[in-house]
Amino acid sequence: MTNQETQTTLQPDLLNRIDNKILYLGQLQLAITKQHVAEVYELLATNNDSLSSGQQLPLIVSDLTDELSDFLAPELMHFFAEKLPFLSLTPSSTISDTYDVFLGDWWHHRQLGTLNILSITLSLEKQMITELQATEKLSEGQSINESKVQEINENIKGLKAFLADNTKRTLELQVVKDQLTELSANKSGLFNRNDKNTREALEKKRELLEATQKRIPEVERKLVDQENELLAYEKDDALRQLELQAILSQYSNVAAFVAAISQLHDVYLDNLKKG
Amino acid sequence: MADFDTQVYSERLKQDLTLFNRWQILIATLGDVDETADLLEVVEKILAFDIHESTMLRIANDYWFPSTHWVTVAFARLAETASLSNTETVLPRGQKSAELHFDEWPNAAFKFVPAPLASGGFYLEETAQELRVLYWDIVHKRFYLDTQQFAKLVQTEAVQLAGVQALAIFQKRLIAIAEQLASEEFSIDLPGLAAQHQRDLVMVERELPSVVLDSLFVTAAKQQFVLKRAQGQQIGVEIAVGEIAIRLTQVFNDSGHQQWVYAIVDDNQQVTIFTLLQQLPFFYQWYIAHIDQVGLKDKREVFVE
Repeated sequence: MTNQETQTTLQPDLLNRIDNKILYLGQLQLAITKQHVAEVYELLATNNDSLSSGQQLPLIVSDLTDELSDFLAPELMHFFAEKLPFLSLTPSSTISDTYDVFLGDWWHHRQLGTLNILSITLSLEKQMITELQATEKLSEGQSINESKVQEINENIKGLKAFLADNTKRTLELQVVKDQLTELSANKSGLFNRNDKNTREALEKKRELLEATQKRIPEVERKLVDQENELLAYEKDDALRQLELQAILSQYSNVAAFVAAISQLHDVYLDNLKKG
Repeated sequence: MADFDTQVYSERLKQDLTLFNRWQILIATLGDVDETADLLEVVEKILAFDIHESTMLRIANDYWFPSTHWVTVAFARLAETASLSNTETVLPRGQKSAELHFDEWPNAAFKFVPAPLASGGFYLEETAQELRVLYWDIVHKRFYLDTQQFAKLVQTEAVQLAGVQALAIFQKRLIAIAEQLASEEFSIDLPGLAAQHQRDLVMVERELPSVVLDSLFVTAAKQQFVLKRAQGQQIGVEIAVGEIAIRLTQVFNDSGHQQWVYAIVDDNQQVTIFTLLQQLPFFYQWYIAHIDQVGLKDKREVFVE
């Protein structure tokens, strides 16, 4: 026996494994050529139990992550557009085989989660789901930030009233100043006790009015801050309301939506096979 | 109130002094002319006459009317030819300047007042709220819409009562007057008034802080409208109102600078931004709250508060 024949005889396992790999790659190539997306997913899951939980591809194709997800993404996007039209998806700028999933197509829509193309899993933002579940329990017209909104509105009302009184205060201050001037002019050097008391009272009033007037810039700043804070709370409430409306347009409640998302992998593959 | 009759007045003038003879010819011409150019020429002469030669006569004669009156009469002539809806020139009892009543707005009256500008000119304003519609400078040939006060005017009770159709007629009337004046080489600026030109309506500020759009989002949401992100690569937002859309987008202007603009998308080309300000309380509320940023850019320099 030659050396070559000896090596072939002694290493049947190696040759079998290489044959299997060639066969696997051939099947994958054929599935891709024929656009059999379901079959591609099945092949990618072969010998790789961890894939369904969003880990990694079989080692033999692990360097094809980008290309495989580019191939698989359009069909999955089509599925989302058809079955979950209230979600907007954009390729993630940080992870190559994932898409950022947003709820709605409105101004500053919030990210609901991240979709992994290869594992067909959508991981949801837990905080957002918790907020939506809290919102759905509220009566119509109520919101999570309702009490904060009421409190800030009260603050704003007070601040505006303070600023609105400025004209009145300015006039009052002028009157006090005029009275003080008159007092000085008429009784210069000849104060009796009553005049002295009057002067002291007027001076105190002037000091108080001037101190109050000095607070105006601070109050104006505070008003702007409060209005911005109010807007932020109202915006959060408005976003949650729209998000909830979108989910409830298709599901009976948020929990049903979450349950459906957890079954995304199986539902999508079934859908592909039926299609 | 009594109708003002130019011809009757001119007949009275004819009986007066020699100086009045010229005056009478001017007034008679004002009542007779058909061509816009002739009308403008005669009203310009009337204004010059009023400034330079009328002082003594004004004191002596109860029937003397100020410049604003003649500007009103001239405007009424233009307004009559500009619309099928009637224009009435009415002289309120005890007043020296006529008011204009447009048939489409039965509860509103308009008058001209002098603009406090060195270059002169007049403002057309609604009498009850004293809200300006426009600036008309016959001598320097300028005709500009006050977009800020007109936006407030369309929300007033009189205009609300008259409805969408009345506003449409009024806007068309102003556009038609502007066309007459444009043919006499007037500078025209009526942003947002023509239903056919509702794209690229430039806002006052080039940059919009995010908080301004947040505010529109919240205000709209309270009335069940949704501010959506612009489709495609454009930076901007959009609100659908039935078959109409209000679009706010950031574009590059001719100088290469970024600029926020409105587009009112209406396939039927019947709606203007002012129609929407009249009909959508949330849009008006937001627009007025941020008017220094999101107001339509107009010839602000002629509108003195």
